[in-house]
Amino acid sequence: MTISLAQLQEIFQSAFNEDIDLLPTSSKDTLEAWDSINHLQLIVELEDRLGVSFTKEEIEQLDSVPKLTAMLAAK
Amino acid sequence: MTLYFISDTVTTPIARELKKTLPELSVEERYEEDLIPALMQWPEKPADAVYFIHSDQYFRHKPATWQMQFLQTVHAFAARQTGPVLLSNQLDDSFEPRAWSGYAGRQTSMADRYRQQLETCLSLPNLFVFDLAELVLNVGASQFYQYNLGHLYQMPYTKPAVKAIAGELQQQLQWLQAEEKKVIVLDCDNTLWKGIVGEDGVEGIVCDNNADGITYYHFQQFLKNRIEEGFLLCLCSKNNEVDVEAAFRKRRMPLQWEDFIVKKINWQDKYTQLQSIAQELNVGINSLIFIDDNLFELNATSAMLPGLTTLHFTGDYKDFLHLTRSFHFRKRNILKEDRQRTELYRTEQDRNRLLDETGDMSAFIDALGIEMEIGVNDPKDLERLSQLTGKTNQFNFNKQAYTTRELEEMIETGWKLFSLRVSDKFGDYGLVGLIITRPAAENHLIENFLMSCRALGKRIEEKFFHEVFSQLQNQGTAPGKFIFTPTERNQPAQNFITILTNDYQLSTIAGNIPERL
Repeated sequence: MTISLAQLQEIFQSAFNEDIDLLPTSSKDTLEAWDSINHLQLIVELEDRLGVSFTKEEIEQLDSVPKLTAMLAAK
Repeated sequence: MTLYFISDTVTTPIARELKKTLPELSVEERYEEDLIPALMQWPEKPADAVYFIHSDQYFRHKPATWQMQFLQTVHAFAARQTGPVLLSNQLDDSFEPRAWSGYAGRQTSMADRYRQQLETCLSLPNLFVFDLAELVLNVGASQFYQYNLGHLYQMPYTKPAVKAIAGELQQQLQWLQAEEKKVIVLDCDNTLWKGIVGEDGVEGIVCDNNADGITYYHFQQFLKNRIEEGFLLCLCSKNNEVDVEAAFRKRRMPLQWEDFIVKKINWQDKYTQLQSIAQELNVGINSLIFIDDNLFELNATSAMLPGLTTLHFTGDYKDFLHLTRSFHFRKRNILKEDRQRTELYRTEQDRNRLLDETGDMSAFIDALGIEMEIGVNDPKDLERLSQLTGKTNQFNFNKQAYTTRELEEMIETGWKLFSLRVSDKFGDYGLVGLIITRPAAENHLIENFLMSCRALGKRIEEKFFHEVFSQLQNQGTAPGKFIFTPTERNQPAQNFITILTNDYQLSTIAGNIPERL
């Protein structure tokens, strides 16, 4: 599955409940709103919107936009 | 105000959502796998602390003994705190299959038993239920829980669930701060029934169990139940009063004309009518809920009367359910005091004040403007009459409780049931008197005569008897005898005997009803 950055930004905003500027390189370290709680909200939002599911390992490893696009590409 | 989340579930998404609607609220979270020690060690906080105690995640893994201990701990916790404590109730096992607890459709589930215990726990004035179970039902369990993350990260709620919980919390917090509502003021046409009584006529309005009228019927039932919780109902309608009264008297609807304490039925501005309702009942505008189908009226009244709560009622059933769930209808402590009794007491005080002003009894009675209405064999009175026969002790010629069915049988065998409704300028007394007569070969007989004590002391009983006697006399069936059973408590009725024997030349038959204490 491939997904545009604009679509991802929309999903992130919806999960985090605030406006954010998502970059192709964004990660937990660069995005302040990406804390552990919002991380889980993000997983819920992605599963809901895209009809995919993530394993426990994937949830734990996922910490940046590049990793996310890679994971989605494999699904 | 500080809201403390004390929970065995991750509540951060709920707190964040809540902060969006109540930015001035300060929120603190405490996550504990076992809530009991946390609650036991919790320090006392000032009265502006509100607690949301929420056990959902680990709740079901704990044995029943833990659950009971948890409730006792919450109870002790609430007793120590001055601020309000909201306790999440439990749903049936929607997070895990019921079968796990051995539930096979025949046993009571652990959650069922817990909920029974919960009810007995709620005896403290600052302990309230947060109805999580209701939210799960509304949203649907499969939409409410996201099981995967719930099991992995103790964060089991979906986005709609978080929104629902935060929304309910917001309402509950506002309700805790708001003045408690006391009076529900209602429009009539297209609010209490479908149609316009002045145009469609009494028979043209709809309020029944059929598709067109069911929302209105259920709405009236809902309002009727509020009376029992202590709400006062009033009418504020642009109509001719005779039409509205006829609608209540002639149509079988859950609400009766007597259910309304103050009725403002005229063509004046509704806001002035609402103002005078508040004045008459001696309450502030912010104790009023005004319900109308007309948005113009709602906007106009709330613009003129700041603090007024207005609710929009439509015939749509979904809207109706939403309306009835409003926090404005929830009393904080129904069990603690019977507010209706307070109100009756208050109007009685007004009457006494008038008695002081007027000085003598007959001037007082004139000033009260007592109005009496006598019904004969009216089927819709039977229920209240049955209740009167059971409850009246002082002015009761023969204390015997009749069932509605027994009263019906009396009518079928040719007896007459005269029921008395009384109102005065302070309000309605409701149905307060009953005379039962039965035909006999020579002289008709007064089988029973009773008056509710709330109508006594105003010579109403004399007028009532006089009216009934005259009616019977005109029909050539004037009574000659009455049955009387003295009891320890019916002295007021015994005092009335001399009037019957002297003024009406009636003779007494001793009743053989055994005295009941």
